This record gives sequence, structure tokens and C-alpha cells, in this order.
Amino acid sequence: MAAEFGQLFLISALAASLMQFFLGLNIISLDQTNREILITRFTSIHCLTVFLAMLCLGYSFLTDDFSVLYVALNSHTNLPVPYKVAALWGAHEGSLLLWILLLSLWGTSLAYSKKFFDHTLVLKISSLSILGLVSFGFILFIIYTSNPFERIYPFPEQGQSLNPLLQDPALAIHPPILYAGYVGLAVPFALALASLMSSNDYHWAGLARIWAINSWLFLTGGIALGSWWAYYELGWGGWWFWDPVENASLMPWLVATALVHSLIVTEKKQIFNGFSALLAIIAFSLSLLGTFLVRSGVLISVHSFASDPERGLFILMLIGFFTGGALIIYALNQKRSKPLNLNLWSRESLLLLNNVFLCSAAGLIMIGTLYPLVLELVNSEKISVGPPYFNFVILFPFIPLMLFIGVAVFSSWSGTGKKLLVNINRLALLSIVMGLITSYLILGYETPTATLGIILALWTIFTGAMPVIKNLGSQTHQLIKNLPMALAHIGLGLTVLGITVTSSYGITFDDTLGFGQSKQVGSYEFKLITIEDRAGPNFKAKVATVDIFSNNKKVGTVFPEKRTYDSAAPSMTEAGIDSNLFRDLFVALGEDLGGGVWSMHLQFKPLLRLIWLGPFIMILGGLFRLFLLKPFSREI
Amino acid sequence: MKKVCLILLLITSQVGSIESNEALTNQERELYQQIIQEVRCLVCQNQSVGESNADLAKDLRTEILEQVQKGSSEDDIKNYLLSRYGDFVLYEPSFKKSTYVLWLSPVLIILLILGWLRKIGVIGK
Repeated sequence: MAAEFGQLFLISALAASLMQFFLGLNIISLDQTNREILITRFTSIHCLTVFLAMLCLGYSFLTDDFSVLYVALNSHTNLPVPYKVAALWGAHEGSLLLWILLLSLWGTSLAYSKKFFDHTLVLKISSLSILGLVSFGFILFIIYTSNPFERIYPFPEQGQSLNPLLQDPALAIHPPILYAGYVGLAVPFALALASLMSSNDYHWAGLARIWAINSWLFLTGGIALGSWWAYYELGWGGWWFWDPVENASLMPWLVATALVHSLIVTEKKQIFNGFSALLAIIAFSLSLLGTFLVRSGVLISVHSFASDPERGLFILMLIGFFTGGALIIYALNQKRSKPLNLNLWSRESLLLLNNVFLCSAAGLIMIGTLYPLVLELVNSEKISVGPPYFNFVILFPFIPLMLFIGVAVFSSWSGTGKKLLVNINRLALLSIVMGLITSYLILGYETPTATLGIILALWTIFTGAMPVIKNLGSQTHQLIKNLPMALAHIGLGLTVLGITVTSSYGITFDDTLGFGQSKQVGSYEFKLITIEDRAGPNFKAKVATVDIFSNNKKVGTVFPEKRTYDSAAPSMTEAGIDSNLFRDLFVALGEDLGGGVWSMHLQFKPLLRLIWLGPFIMILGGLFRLFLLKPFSREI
Repeated sequence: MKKVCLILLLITSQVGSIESNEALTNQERELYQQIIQEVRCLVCQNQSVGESNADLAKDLRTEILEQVQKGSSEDDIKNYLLSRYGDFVLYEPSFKKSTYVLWLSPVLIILLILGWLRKIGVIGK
């Protein structure tokens, strides 16, 4: 019965979202107070019904109801309970339901936000109406093409279980976090459109900033978590593959970062209003594009699983409708801005410049991601665009971006840059000297890009930290004012430092090892001790014991595993990793070559942890901004 | 021939004398590790041959290892793979008519930005 109830709740949600949309339109004659009360109620009903539908699906999973097709395909009686919950969003249908649940939650947070006053009430009503329409489109998509409540008869005795790759704590929580980021961008999108269609001034910016930062936090966390998971679970010690699915999450992140910065200018200086609105539209459109890439099956990629083209066409139509519609509204309402006469070295220009670089980075990634698809479509020519391409082209926007970040921190609003050079020359010198020392004396010269990367990373860290350090003696308010920016920039610097050092100075060995044999990787010696059998709840595993020595002193022991799941999928590697802040030692089991000899993947990766420490610090910065420094603006 | 090599490799491994990376100089080893990351495993879902456990990936790894040991250069090996498997095999697309836009896109984007900044008057006036 649960599945039928779920179906009913889903249909109720469809109706509620449609009501939410209509209540925002002028064709229903209501005064504004009643309109607001009603639209708020329908937003909550919409959210509640989606939540109940999710609960029904959860109930089907927990009771092993294999007559529900989605449960039969993604669960198994011996699947541990936490993964039965994670299986809710482990495949296409359920993940879309999660998408809508999160969208309606963000909508509800907007409906009950205390940041709206009389003169912005119209923004609230229109944006809730737009969110209702977005939800309506996607609930329709679920019901027509991807219904998780579909029954099968005769039903199987046993389910096919969750993809073993997904049976992992980090990946269980990865989709909700990443999706929360994706769909959170719908709120700035709706606010921007609502503003364009009504007052068309800067009032929306302060509001949009709250949800933009929230989404940015979730996107940052989701991307970092995904990368961390790929590192220890996919078995080959890589942390970023430039896979289309990863690119699909990086593009909205880059534009969301630009949006957060542009909204600061719009809120504080009341300029770049159109640019911020455009960024909000692009950011959410890229989220939709990401959903299309991941969910339509157009990609051949490690993450996406085959689906039928009907779904792809439906999502394409949704993208066309929402992106196209939004751009038309933007074009029709765009005001011709007065000439700004900004100096290049004012904070306004520098922020604008960096936002443009962030968008170019997203644009280049989009070109690289879509190019092979388009070429195959137009020319039937099959090419691959992978890491060598992306690692190269990303430098074009990122080198100037990193350079200007530090300059922007020291610039002033409407400034002319006269004092700028005096203020930054010491830090610039310090970064160059420290960068050269690090890359030539400590690590040893590798490539010019590596040296430049280290210098720019240090530059970003120093210039980010400086405004806080300078105010250490002053009052708390002065001190914490710059803290969010400082943390975000330091986080970025650390990530870039980690990426540069680990990719330039890391060592990888694919080699064979017998019992008692050892292998030298850099200054570390890996010694294979034993390999034993182990049985898990729904898998069997071979577990190796590998001791690691440095200068004949034991520094660690790791236990890489190779698992074979009962659901007869190909075997999975669980890497053995010994890590500290300065380096990771990584061992993955390859093949049993017989006679106690195994092929193995050994890695020494210096400063690898910074790649994930950086996002963590960035998130702290965002949280400080949201919860420490309130309110955003007295005017909103 | 490929199969034979692979079997030989397996046999030699079994008896403990490892005919894999052992004989490589550091330079050769780096080249080998780099190339296996840039060659696509054609039967996998977007994985390099260095990341894949598929049989084809193993064959290709053996192939690349042999060529590296023979002293072939990076270009030689890549050209050989290109002639045998087509453009799809390399993660670095070659520069030709159909990829002009792809490779020139960074330059185009930089030019666009400069033009736009000039137009709105932030630079050049």
C-alpha cells in the first residue's frame, strides 16, 4: 500500500506546486496579504506532500517490498539499513524525488524567512510562484518518465541490491549535500526573475545572497566529499578525473562563487544589478544542465548509468523552458545602465573582473565537456577530452584570477589604486620569495607552472589572512568583519597549494609485490606482509597487510582490501591509506597473479590533504558569514 | 602476440622475477605512468587504462610498457595508439580542423573578455 500512498502524495504535490505557481499570478484577484498567506501555505503543503512521498518510498525499502520496481532494482534483504536509506537516492528515480524534496525545502525556507518586509513582499510572492513552476515541471517529469512507485508483477523474491560503489558512508550522504547545493541555486534564480519582473532594483540582492551562500556551501561540501570518495573508493588514488559528472558540479560552483561576489557589489553599491541577475540565471541553468548530463545518460562516464532517451528529451525541454524563459525575461527587462566610469583598480572593477574569470572557467569546462557530444552528433566523430586538455585550459582564467584575488582584497570601493601598489608590494614580495624557496630549495624545481602555482597559492593565503591579522588588536567587530573572506580565500589558497604540490611532486608506482617483498617509492618503502580472507555482511574480501617504512623506521601499516559483493558485481577496491597533513601513502590491491604475488598500486602524495582541508575552511568562512555577521543589510 | 606477451608477463611474475617496472629507469617509469593516465580504456566508462581492471586496459598497459622499454618516445607511442584505435583513445584531443574551436576557446574567451571590458569602459579609455 505504501507505494500507492506515495503515488497519491506525489500527485497531491503536483497539484500543490501548481497552486503555488497560480497564486503568484495576477489573474487570481486577491489582496497582497491573503495572497502571501495562501502562497506560504501551499508552499508548505507542497513540501510536506513530497516529504510524505519520500517516506512512503523509504517504507517500501525498509520492508523489502520488491513488488516496487525501484526497490527491487536497488535493494536486497541483506543490505544494511543505512544503505537501504541511502538507496532511496541511489538511482535515477529516487534521486529526482530527492531533488524535488530539497527544492521544496528551500522554497519553504524562503516562505518562512523573516527577511521580507512590506516593500519586498512582492518579491517573495513572485519568487515562490516561480519555484512552484520549477517544482511542477520536475514532478511532472517524475510522474511521466521516472516514477519510483511503479509496481512489477510477478515480483522477484530478492532484489538486485545497491551498486557496491555506492555502499559507502561518504557517498551515501554525497547526493543530498550536492543536490541541496544544485537546487538551492533555484532561489537566487527565482528572486532575480521576480525582481526583473517587478521593481527591477537592487533589493533582491541582499536576500539572494543568503541563499546563494547557502547553496555555495552545500556545493563546496558536495564536490569535496565526492572527490574524497573517488580518491579512496575508486581505487586508483585519483581525486579529480574531469569526468563530465564532476564538471557538471564544478560549473555551477564556479558561477555560484561569482554570484556570491557580484551580489556583494549589488547590495552595497547598487550597481551590476543586471550582471548579478544574469549570474543567478546562469548558475541555476548550469544546475539544470548538470541534472541533464547526469540523469539523461548522454554521457559515457563512471558515474552515470544508462537511461532511456525519453528522459533526456524531457529534461532538455525543461532546460529550454526555464533557461530560455529566464533569458527572455532578462532581455526584456534589462535597463540600459548609466556609464559607470569605474577605475580598473577599484574594488568594483576587480570583483567584476574576477567574476568574469570565474565564468570563463565555467565556460571553458562547458566547452570541453560538451564538445565531444556535439562533434559526435554533427560529425559522427568520436574524440575524448580529458585531463590533459582541462588541466591546460583552466590555467588561462585561473592564473589571472588568483593574481587579482589578492589585489581585490586590498583595493577600496570606488578607489583609483594609487595606494594599492604600496599596500601590496610587501606581501607580493613575501609570496614570491617564499614560493621560490619552497619550490627550489625544499621540494626541488619541477616545472614553471608548479612554481607559479605555489607562489599564487601563498599570495592568496597571505592576502586573505592580512586584513584579519592587521585587526588582531582591535575590537571584536572589526576583527570578525573580514573573517569570512579571509577563511574562504585561505581555503582556496590551500586547495591550490595542495593540487599543485601533489600533482607535481607525487610519485605513483604500478608494480607487483610478493609476500615479504618490498618496494621503494620516493623515500618510503612498502612491504607486503600477508593477504587474508575476510567476510563482510554482504561481501567477501581479501585484505592485505602492508607495512610502510621510512629510513628503516616503520611509519605505518595499511590494510587495502579487494571486495567481491554477493550481488555478483565486479570486485571493488578499498584502498589502504596512511595519511597526515603533509603526505598520503596509498596502497590499492590489484590482481592476484598467483604464487603469493599481487599487482599493486602504490602512491606517495605530498600535501594531498590540503585539497580537502581547503574546502572545509571555505565552508567555515561561509558559515561565519551566515551565522556570525547578521543581518545582511539593514535595508532588506 | 599481445596475448602471448601478457601470458609471458604473468608467468614471469608467478615465478617471482618481476618483468614489470623493475627494469625501468626513473625517466621511463614516469613516462609509463604518465601515458597510462592519458590513454582511455575503450571498453570502460570514462576511465584511463591506468585506472581500469578491464582486460583491454591490461593489454594496453603491457603494450605501452613494452614500447617504453624499447625506448620509444611519448609521441611515437601516442601516434601508434592513434593509428590503431583512433582519436577516441587519447584524452588529449589532437589539434586539427574539427578541434580548432576546442583548442582556441581559451584565447577566444580572453579576447571576448578584453573586448567587453573595453566596451563597458573599465579598461582602455
